[in-house]
Amino acid sequence: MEMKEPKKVVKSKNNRKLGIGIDIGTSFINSAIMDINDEVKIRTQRDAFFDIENEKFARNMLKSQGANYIESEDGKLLYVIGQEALNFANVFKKEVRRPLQRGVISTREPEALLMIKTIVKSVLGKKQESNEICKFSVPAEPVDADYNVIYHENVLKSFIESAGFKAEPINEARAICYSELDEEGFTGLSLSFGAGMVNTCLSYMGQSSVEFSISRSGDWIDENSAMAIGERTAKMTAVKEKGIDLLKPKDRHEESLGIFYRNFIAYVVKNFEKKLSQTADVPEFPQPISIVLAGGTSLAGSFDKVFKEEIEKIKLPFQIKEVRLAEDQMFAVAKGCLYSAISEYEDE
Amino acid sequence: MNDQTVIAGSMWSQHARNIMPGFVRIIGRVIGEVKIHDINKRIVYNQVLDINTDEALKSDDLSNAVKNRWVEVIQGNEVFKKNTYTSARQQVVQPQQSQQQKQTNVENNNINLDDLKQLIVETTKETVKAVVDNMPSKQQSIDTNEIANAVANKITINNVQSETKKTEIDKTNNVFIDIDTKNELKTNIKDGELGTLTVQDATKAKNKIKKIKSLKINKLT
Repeated sequence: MEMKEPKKVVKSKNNRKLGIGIDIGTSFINSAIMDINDEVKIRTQRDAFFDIENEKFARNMLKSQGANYIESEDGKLLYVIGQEALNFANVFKKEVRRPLQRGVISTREPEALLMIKTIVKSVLGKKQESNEICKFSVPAEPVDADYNVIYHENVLKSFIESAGFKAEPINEARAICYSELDEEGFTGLSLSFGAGMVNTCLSYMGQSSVEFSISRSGDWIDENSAMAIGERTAKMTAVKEKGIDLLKPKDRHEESLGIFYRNFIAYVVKNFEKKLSQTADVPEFPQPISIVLAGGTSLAGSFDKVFKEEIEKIKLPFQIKEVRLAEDQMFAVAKGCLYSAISEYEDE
Repeated sequence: MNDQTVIAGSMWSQHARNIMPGFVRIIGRVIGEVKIHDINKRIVYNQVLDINTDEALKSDDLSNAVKNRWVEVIQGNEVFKKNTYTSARQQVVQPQQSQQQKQTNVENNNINLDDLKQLIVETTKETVKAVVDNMPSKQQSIDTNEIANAVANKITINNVQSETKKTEIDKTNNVFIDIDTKNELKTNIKDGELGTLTVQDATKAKNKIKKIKSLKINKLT
């Protein structure tokens, strides 16, 4: 954890507390604020787009449906974003496009940069004061892929700062530690199962000792389970998001998803074991620790049970107190970013 | 193996090289992966890929990727200049490294100089012997050991290290996408109004923030 002196008291002129958090994920972008009425407000935007030709008819149609769109640089295309993008993709039987891929800015999409910038700014809203702290989630270096996250982190930082905030990165699994492991004194293992990556953080009293990521997650499950039964990836995503129980599959779609889910969890656990064996300064935990699972991919029924079965198969340098799902699986990262940002300011 | 066979072998390989299809060697310059759709190729960051010249010439996606600097051509750049292509062997140009990358990625500096010298002595002996053996007429006697030792004595730790640094691998920031933070796209979205809003009670949240603050204060004191 960064050791900084809390800032001077600054009475916010607006209706929310100073400090904002944003979770920029492969599938969703979530921003979190706390208003003066003691409410946490989270804005969720699906991180997907679909392009159609920029014609008057198309613009009017989108306006009448209340759909959000962004015009391409040359003005020839309209990028429909969010849920409407998925609807269009289903109508045209095509896949939606993603500005992020495997947890970082996509290199397949030339428009990704400006797309993310627009979405991030729109989800964040206006700053309360100059250089208001905005904590944004970033992945850790992957252990199983040959790419790094420096570029991704710096691009996001520059976009957030262009909106007038002071952008500070925070590992997304560490953000879960802040939002979910307070009862345990911020000690334990937190895992964020996103769409593109899994991020892991082993922390002791808020101090992170091991942080790493794995470059496969929900998208990998969707793609491979779809390939196995000759189905479209989007269809498998829809089946998954509708809700499945990994231990009680109802049809061949769910069976395929269940098989790849278990394979994926075993892969994550094995990589964790390998990483721990290569890390010299793993802390010695005096007590058994809790493991918290968050992220959209962890929403599948019995996910925690399958994870527990797999992690009990490996040797760990600590004892496990419990394996539990985060109280708020979808927003645990955004909330952790928010709590960390607000804690930089003194109480009003 | 007699001299005629060696000369014939050499001539064959020279002609074979001339009639073999040329290729373009590219290196990935964006983190992640670039897909060149129209020739069904993928190239990941900092990895090298050879593409047949014919394929490279017909690929609009490749030209676009080169133009946008998502990939860099490190051999066969002339393919992209019309009517100037030659199948003659080109020297491979190593991508230039920034000073920062060199500093952050120094690898394999602990070279055992004796082992290296020994390797060069042995290799030079074999090479000189092969050259001498294959000469059509042996006009004078050549001491292969003497040549090999002379080459080995030229090696010092300094020039070995400087050569090693030239081959360091870029794994950090050698990415050429320009970040233009001022450029904005037209949109119908209003700031702060995008996305679905979820409202939750903040009682627990305030408690957690207090704990994070006390954690920070404990660390400071």
